Amino acid sequence: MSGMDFRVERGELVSLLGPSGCGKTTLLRIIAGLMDADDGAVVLGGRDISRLPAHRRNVSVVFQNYALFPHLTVAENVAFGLRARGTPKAQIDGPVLEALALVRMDSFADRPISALSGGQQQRVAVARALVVQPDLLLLDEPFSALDRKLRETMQVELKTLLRDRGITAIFVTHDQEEAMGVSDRIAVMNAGKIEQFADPSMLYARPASPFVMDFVGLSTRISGKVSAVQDGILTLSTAYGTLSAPGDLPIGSAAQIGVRPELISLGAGENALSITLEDAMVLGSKTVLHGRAEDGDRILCELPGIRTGLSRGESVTLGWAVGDTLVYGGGA
Amino acid sequence: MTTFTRRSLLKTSALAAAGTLATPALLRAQSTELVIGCAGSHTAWMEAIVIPHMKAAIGADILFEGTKSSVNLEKMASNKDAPYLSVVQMDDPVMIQAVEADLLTPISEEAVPNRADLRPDAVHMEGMWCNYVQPWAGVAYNTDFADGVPSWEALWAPEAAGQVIIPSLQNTEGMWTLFVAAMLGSGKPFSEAQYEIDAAFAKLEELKPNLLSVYSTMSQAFNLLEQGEISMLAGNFSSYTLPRKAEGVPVDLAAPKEGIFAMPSGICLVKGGPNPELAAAYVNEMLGAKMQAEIADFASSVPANTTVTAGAVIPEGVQIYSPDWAFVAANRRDWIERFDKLMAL
Amino acid sequence: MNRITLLAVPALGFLAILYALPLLMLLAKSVSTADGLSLAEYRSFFADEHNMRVIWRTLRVAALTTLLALVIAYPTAFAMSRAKGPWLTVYLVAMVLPMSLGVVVKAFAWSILFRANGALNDALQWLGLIERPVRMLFTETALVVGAANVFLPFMVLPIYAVVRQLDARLPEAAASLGATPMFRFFNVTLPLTLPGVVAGSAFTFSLAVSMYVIPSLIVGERQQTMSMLIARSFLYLRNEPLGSTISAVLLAIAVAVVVLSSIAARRLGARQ
Repeated sequence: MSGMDFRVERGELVSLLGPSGCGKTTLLRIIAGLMDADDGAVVLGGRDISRLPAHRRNVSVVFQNYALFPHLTVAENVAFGLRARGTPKAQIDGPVLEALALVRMDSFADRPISALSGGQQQRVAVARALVVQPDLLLLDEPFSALDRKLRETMQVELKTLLRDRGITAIFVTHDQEEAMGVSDRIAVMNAGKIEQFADPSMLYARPASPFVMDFVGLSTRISGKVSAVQDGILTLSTAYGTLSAPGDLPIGSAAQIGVRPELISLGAGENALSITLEDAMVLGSKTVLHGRAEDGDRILCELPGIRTGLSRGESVTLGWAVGDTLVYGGGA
Repeated sequence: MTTFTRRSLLKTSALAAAGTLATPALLRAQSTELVIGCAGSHTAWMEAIVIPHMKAAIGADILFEGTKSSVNLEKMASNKDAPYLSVVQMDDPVMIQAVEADLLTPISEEAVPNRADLRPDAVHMEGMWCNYVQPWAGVAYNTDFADGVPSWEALWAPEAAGQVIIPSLQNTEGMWTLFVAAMLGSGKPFSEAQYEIDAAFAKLEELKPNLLSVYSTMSQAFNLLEQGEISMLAGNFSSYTLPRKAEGVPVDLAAPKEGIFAMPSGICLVKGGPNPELAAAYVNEMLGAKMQAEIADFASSVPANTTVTAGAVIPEGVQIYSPDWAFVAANRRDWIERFDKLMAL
Repeated sequence: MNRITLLAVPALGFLAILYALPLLMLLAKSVSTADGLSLAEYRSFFADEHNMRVIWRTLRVAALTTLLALVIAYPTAFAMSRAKGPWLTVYLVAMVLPMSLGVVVKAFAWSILFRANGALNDALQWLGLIERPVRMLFTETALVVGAANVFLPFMVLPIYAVVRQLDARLPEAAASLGATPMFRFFNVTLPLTLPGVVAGSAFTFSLAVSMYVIPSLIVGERQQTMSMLIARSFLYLRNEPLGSTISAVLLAIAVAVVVLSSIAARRLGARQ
C-alpha cells in the first residue's frame, strides 16, 4: 500500500470506499493499531499514535460482525471499555444506560448477546464503541450483515447519532450508495492507493479517474483521440464522429470519454451519438435505455419519469452538453 | 493379529498331523497349544530354550505368559471354572495358596515319570508341585562400585545412603531382605530368626535412609543397578543377575557370609486345565535330564534332577537357606501391609 | 425412541456390559460380608491413617499433574490454533506420536535423564547451578512431571478445539476499547476458553487420579497411590472386599470430578 495520505477533520464522517482487496480494511486496522504499517504515520489530534498499542489510542472500532463478547450481557458488553479503563464501579452504570438509550437498547440491558437480532447487535456494538468517548470511531462494513431495508434505516439512524454527538468517524465500505449516504467525504481506494478524496457530489460529478467514475455510479464510456484544443475545450475524434469536452490533454493523445447516464437526453445536443436501442426499462421514477453504438460500445441513458413508445431495435439519437462530458488521458 | 496368525498356523499344523495319525488320535488332537504361566523375569530365556525343545520333543506350541507369582495365582483363581493355563511356574509360597484354593492337580509319577529322579526336597505336598530349578539369591551389585558384598550389613552401611533398592514383599524375592533383617536384628540363627518378624521390621526401618526405592517391577530397578544409579539391589537371584553378567553388563551377584537363599521355583499342573496329557508331557520334559541341564546352565541355577550334574555351583562356604513357606503363606498379607506402611514416604 | 437415538445403542450396550455391569459387581463386593450388607470395609479403610495419606497423595499428585499440564498446554493450544499448514501437522503429530510410545519405554528414558549421573544432573552441574547430583528419580516431582508429559495431549486437544473456534476479533475489539493485554486475557480470552480448560482438566485429573503404571515405575512402592493400593489388594493381599472398597472410593472421586466439571462447563457455556 502507498499513497494513503488523507486527513479527517474533527467531527467529520469519512468513508473508505473500494472493492474488496483494495486495502481499506488494512488501512482501518492500521489506524486502530491492530496492525503495524511499514512506513508512514497515524496522527490523531496532533499526536503521533503510530507506535501506540491499540488499547492506548482511544480509537473505537465497530467490527463487521460486531465482535460482541458472547459471554457477557448487553450491559456488560457496553460497560467493558469503561471497566478496562479502570472507571470506578459507581461511574459505570450511568453512562452504560445512557449509551444504550442512545441506540434504543436500554430495555435489553440484561439480555445475553445470543438473544439479539442483527440490527440490535449492531446498536449494541455502536453503544459499546461510543460509551468510552473515543477520539475516533472506526466502522468496518457496519451494515453489511443487515438486510437492505434495515440497512437504510440504520444508516440514517447512525449518521444522525454521530452528527448529533459530533463524533469523528471513518466508515469502511464497498457499497458506494452507503458511502455517499453516510459520509461528508469519501476516499475511493483502488489497489492499495487512494484515487480520490472528496465530498460525494464532487466525487460523482468530477471523478478524478476512470476507476472512480466507474466505481461511483454508472457511466457510458467511449475511446477517442485528441484532435484539437481550444479555450480549454478538447475536440475528440471517435468512431462516432467528433465529441467535445472540457479538459487539458495534448493533441494526438488517446483519451477516455465518459458521461453520466442521467445527463443524456433524447435528441441531438452539443455532443450527439446514434445508437440502436437494445432495451428500454421503465422503472417508475426513471426509464433506463440500454443501447449499442455502431462500433459496439454500450451506451446507458436514464430519462426521468415514464417514457413510452421506445422499442427494441429502434435507432435513436442521444445528446448531452459539452460541460457534462468527462475526459481522461490514456487508452481503454 | 499375532494371536490370530498363530492360531491359523496351529490349525494348519494340526491338519498336517492328521494325515500321519490314526483316526482315534485325530479325534483327541484338538490342539497342540499350551498356555504356561511363568515368572516375568524368566520369560526371555524360557522362550529361547524351552519353546524349541517342546516343539521338537512333544509337538507342543508353547505360549508363555510371564508375570509375578501372585498375579499368576490371581489368573488361576479368577479363571477357576474355565482355566486357560495348563501349567504354571511360580514360587513356593504362592503354590501353598494355590493348593489351599484347590487350583492344582497333583503331578503323578505315572504321568510324569521324571518326577522319580528329583531330589526329595524338590517334591512338595505329595506332588502338588515340584521345584524344576533352584536359582540362589544374594545381593546384586554394580561392579564399578565394589568388588563384592561380604556381608548383608553392607546394605545398612552409611556409605550406601540412597544407593540401595529392595524388592517389595509382594515379590517372593522380597522375603530375603525380611529374613536377613530378622537374622541381623535378632542375632539368632536363620532357623529361629525367620520367626522373629518384629525384630525384622525394626531392622528394616533402619534401612530406610539407604533406600532409593522399593520395587514391585524388577526390570526397572535392575536397569538402575546396571546404570550405576544404585550400587546394590537386594534379594536378586542367579537366574537373572548372572545371565546379565555374562552379557558383559557391570553387575555381579554376591553371596554374603551370613548366607544366601534358594529361590523356590515351582511347576504345577492346573486343575481342569486344557490339554492335560500334553501338559503332563510338558512337565515331564521340564524335569527331564536335557531341559534340566540346559536351564540350570543358562540360569546359573541348581538342577532339581539328581541325574544331571550340569549347572551352576552354589557358592562354597555359605549357608543356603529355605524358609518355612507355610509360615510365610500364613502371614504374608499382614507383612505386606506392615511393610508398605513402614516404607511409605 | 427415535432413529438417531438408536445410533447410541452400540455404545450404550458396550458400556453397560463392559463398564457398568462389572462396576456394579465390584461395588456389591465392597458392601457385602458374610453377615449381609455392611459398610465395615469403608469404616476400617477410612480409619487407617496410611490410607488417608494415600488418598491425599493421590489427589495432590493428580491436582499438580493437572496444573502442570494446563500451564504447558494452554499456550500450546494457542500456538496450534495459529499454526498454518505443515506446522499444524507437525504440532499434531508431535502431540499424538508420543502417545504411541508405551509408558514403560518413557519411564526408562526418563531414568536416563533423571538419574544421578544422568543428562539433567550433568547439565545442572556443568552450569554450576548445583554442586553435587540432586536426587530426581523416585520423587513426587518426577512423578508429576512424568504424568503431565504422558497426559499432555488430553489437556491440549480439548483446549485447542475451543481456542480454534475463538473469534480472533474479540481480543481486538477489547483492545480497541482500551483493554490492556492482561485485562483482555482475564476478561475475554480466558472466560471464552474456560470450557476447554475445564474439559481438559477433567480428562487429565481423571486419568492422573487413577494412574497405576506411571507411579509404580517412577516412584515405586514407597509412595503408593490409590490404584497401587487397589492392585495390591486384589493381586497380592487377595482381599477382594478391600480392593472393591478402594475402587469405589476412587470411582466416587472420579465421578465427582466429571460431574462437577460438566456442571461448571455448562454454567460457563450457558452464557455464550
